[in-house]
Order: sequence, then C-alpha cells, then structure tokens
Amino acid sequence: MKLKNYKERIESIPESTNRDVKHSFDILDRIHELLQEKFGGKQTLLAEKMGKTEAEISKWIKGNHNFTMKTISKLEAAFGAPIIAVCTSDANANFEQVKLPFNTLHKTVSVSEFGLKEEEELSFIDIKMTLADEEIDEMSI
Amino acid sequence: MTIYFELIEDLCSKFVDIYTVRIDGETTFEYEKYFDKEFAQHKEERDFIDSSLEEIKKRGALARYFRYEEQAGALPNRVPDEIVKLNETDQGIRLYCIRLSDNVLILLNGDIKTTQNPEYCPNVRKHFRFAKKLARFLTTYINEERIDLVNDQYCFHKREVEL
Repeated sequence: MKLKNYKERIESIPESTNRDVKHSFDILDRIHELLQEKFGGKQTLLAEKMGKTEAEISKWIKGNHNFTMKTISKLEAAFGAPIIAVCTSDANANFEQVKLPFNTLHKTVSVSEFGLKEEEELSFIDIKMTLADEEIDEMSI
Repeated sequence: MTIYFELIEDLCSKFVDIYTVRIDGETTFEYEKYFDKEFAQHKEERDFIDSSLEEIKKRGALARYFRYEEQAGALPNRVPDEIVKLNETDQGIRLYCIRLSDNVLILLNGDIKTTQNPEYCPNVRKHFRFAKKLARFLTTYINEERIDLVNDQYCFHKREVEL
C-alpha cells in the first residue's frame, strides 16, 4: 500500500527536527557500539566503572533518555573513546577522529604539467577525486 | 477476526520491511488511520515520530529505537524535553507497533495517550490491546509457520491470519 501525500508529509518536517532525530539515533548507536567493544555488552561493567546503578545505565541504553553534554562526557571518559565529534575546517585542529563519513581522511590527487600532486586532508567538501593508495599505484602517468 | 498484512511501500528499504494490517470488514489499514490523523496540538511530536521512521528505514528496526508497553512496541522512544513540557495534559502521542526483528516491523494505529497506564486511556486503550493481542498471536504463529524473519524478505506481505 502507498500512503497519501507521504513525500509531502516528510518534506514538511523541519530540518532541525530531522537533525535532532539523526543525532539521537547516532549517539544511541555509538553508545551501544562502545558498550559492546569495551565491556562486552555488559551494562553492569559500565555501571561499576561509572559508579552508577545498573538501572540508571539501563535507562541510557534503552534510548529514552535525553543526554546532557555532561553525561556524554562522563560516558566518553568511561569508554575511553569519543561518542561525538565536532566538524572543523582546520585540518590541524586537535579534535578526536571518530567513524563518521565527514571525518574520513581523503586523498585529493591532481595532475598537471608539473606532475602528480597529492594532498591529504580531513574534509567532506569539494573533493575532486578520491583514490585509494593501491589505485594511485596502479595509475600510469 | 481475519487480519490482512500488507507492506507499506513508502517505508520499506533494504534494511527493513515495514508492514501494516487491515482488519476484516474495514477499508483502511491501521497505520493509514494513524497517518491520516491531524495531531494539531502535537505537531512537533508527530514530526519527531515520522522522522524517526525515516531513520529506522535507513538503519533497521533495532530494539533500542522503540519503547515497550508490555508486549506492544511503540514510538516515539525518546522525545526532546521541550516537547515533553508541551504535553501538560497528556502523555504525548503513542504509535503502536510490533517489532519482530531488526528487519521486520508492523506499524499499527495510535493516538494521544492521556494516562500513564494505557489501559486507562480512552484514546489508546483499543490500539494498545490490539497490539498486545496481535504480538502474542504472532509469537506462536511465526514458530508454527516457520517464518524466517531474517532471511525471508516480504514474509508477511499479503498474508491473512485468523486472530
């Protein structure tokens, strides 16, 4: 079955709401990923590490909690790994790199009469050509 | 009563098959009834639920994206504090559903919940009870029919069951 005016309905949702939902899903997924990676999925171990009750941790893990920056920071400290990251145009900025598409290391390759020029940067904008090292090696110029 | 299952084309993706059901004798599917409601006083929350379904479409129906009221699943799971504050006289919207696996979800009807316990709410009681009844039935039915929720794509599409 198809819903009447579904596309229009979805397009009417404010961008800020979509971002809010996406961020909350991202944070929840990342917490679950780190819980599995660092504590074998055991909430009791995380509770012990944070000095919290298991009930409190369970509430966070279930996904119906509105996280404050303070709680996220405490979770990051307990996991010893970042949950959120900030975008920056400064490639030398001292921020933690996490597995998000816009923080992927890209290699930009440009070819001119002066030869091959490679630039590595943490960026998600204006990438002309992105190649893996093997692909570059295979190129005959 | 006979229940007819059907895929909701707009909500399906490679990660999740999302179905709804129609009760014998009715012309409208359960999720359609919810979708056509206005919720004028709860617009932000309605947007939040629709946006959550769009995310579920991209990620799958993982258990952590839902709240649970006994056997019935429901959306929204998390609601921003500013929306909670707006719901002074009620508990907000509940869209009832049955999450069978990461890739099989059945959306039902919903409404504005006025009491903590859905059994006492005149708006959602009917939807809550139907969700529980269908969820209980499906637990047995899936075993008996040997439905593979992980590998059988569209396993409920056009299916008819006697509830």
